[in-house]
Amino acid sequence: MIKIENLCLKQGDFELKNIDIDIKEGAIHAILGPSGAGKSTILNAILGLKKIDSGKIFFNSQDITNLAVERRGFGYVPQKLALFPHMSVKDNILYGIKASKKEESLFTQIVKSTNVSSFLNRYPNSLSGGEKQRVALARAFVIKPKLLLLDEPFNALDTKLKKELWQLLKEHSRAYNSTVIIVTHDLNEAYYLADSISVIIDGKVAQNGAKENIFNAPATLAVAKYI
Amino acid sequence: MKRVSILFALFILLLYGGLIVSIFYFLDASSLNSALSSKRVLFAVKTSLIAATISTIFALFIALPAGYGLSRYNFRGKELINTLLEFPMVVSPAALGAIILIFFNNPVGEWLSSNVYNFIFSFGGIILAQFVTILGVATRFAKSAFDEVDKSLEDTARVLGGNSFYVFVTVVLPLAKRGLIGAMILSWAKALGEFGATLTVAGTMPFKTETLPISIYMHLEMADIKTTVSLILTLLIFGLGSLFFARWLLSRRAYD
Repeated sequence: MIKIENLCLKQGDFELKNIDIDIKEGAIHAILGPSGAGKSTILNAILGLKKIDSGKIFFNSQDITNLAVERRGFGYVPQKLALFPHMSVKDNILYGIKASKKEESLFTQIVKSTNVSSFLNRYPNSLSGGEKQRVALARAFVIKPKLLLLDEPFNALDTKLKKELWQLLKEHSRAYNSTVIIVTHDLNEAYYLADSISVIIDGKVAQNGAKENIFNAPATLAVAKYI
Repeated sequence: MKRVSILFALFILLLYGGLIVSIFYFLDASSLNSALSSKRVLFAVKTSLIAATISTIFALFIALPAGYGLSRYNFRGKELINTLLEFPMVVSPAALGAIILIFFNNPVGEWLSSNVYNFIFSFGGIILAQFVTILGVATRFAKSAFDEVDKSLEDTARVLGGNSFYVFVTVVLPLAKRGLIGAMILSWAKALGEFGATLTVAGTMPFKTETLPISIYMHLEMADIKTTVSLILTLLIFGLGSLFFARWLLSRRAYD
């Protein structure tokens, strides 16, 4: 489904070195690691928001390394959610559909499943933290992305709300056979959500594999210490 | 500390306010009426308003994309451009006008004058002088307006399928709108009050290149204080009015 081969990227003093990740269709894959390890940079490289120095990114066997950001057809929930403050919740959710001239076929379904129907006409600055997360998820889900990427989206939430949204994400992924990549440093989140995990330490992949392998058989001392 | 700093701030009000109030000593209704019904004065007011509007439109045409580029991208020469934006402010207006005149005496300038348009001592000269004066400040304001728009909103909009132009129109422009309108008003007010460069490039010909600030200067030279005061009041109404409007616009609560 998505394959990252030998990706290298230098950004100031920080460097991503020889990143290799292979993710199967329909899987939820967590990119796990301590703060500053380079997790979000990998995500931005997949999205096309960061130019890579060398390596390849394949999506469904197609080389997308140099494909324009808007032509990748991915869904995205950034860390700060990035809801458009001048648009209503409804317009936020419909943004991707209008931008890429897709059909609104999923709108009603997604509004229902993400439970945002009661505040569709409100603006982001009047929403609670949990409501904002739901809108950001709905906006990413509704374009029926081939790949959904989330950058530590549930960081600021309390445990109860987090679990609710984990469940929502899992159900959506199963229902639409969506492949998901989630960047996180939260071990519980990775364990609950992920089918497979890449542990990133100091800009390198320390271990790739199924969730159980990572947690039960860490490949190196550094992974074991982190886990 | 608080009292002292407030006293210093009040000094500014006292100085500028006092200077403005002092003009009313020479102002009377009949001289204001006769000044504002004079064909020459009305021509100067009209010339000022039209020239300031045209030069602002031209300046924004360059300043908007340039401000966006300076705000969003890193490129060779960016720091030099950033420094040059203040160039019209650091050279005196008369020197700026002289530089423009000198340019039109160079081979390239002479060719432009003969084959494209002769800016010297013409209405076009007023626009050129105002344009050169305000371009830097308009770009600086536009850049600040774009700096205020969170880059992650633009990135997210692009990932969701919007091409660069669509994202600019639907996300960047609406969010930078207040700052850009402020930039437009402040640039217009600066163009309206421009004197030195306009005088040097376009001259002081009544019914041809006489703007409001030039008219003030010429009436003062003739020791016609009452008309001078009426003209100053007219300029203050337009200039300060637009500044207060820009301030009000920029102080309105933005989206959180």
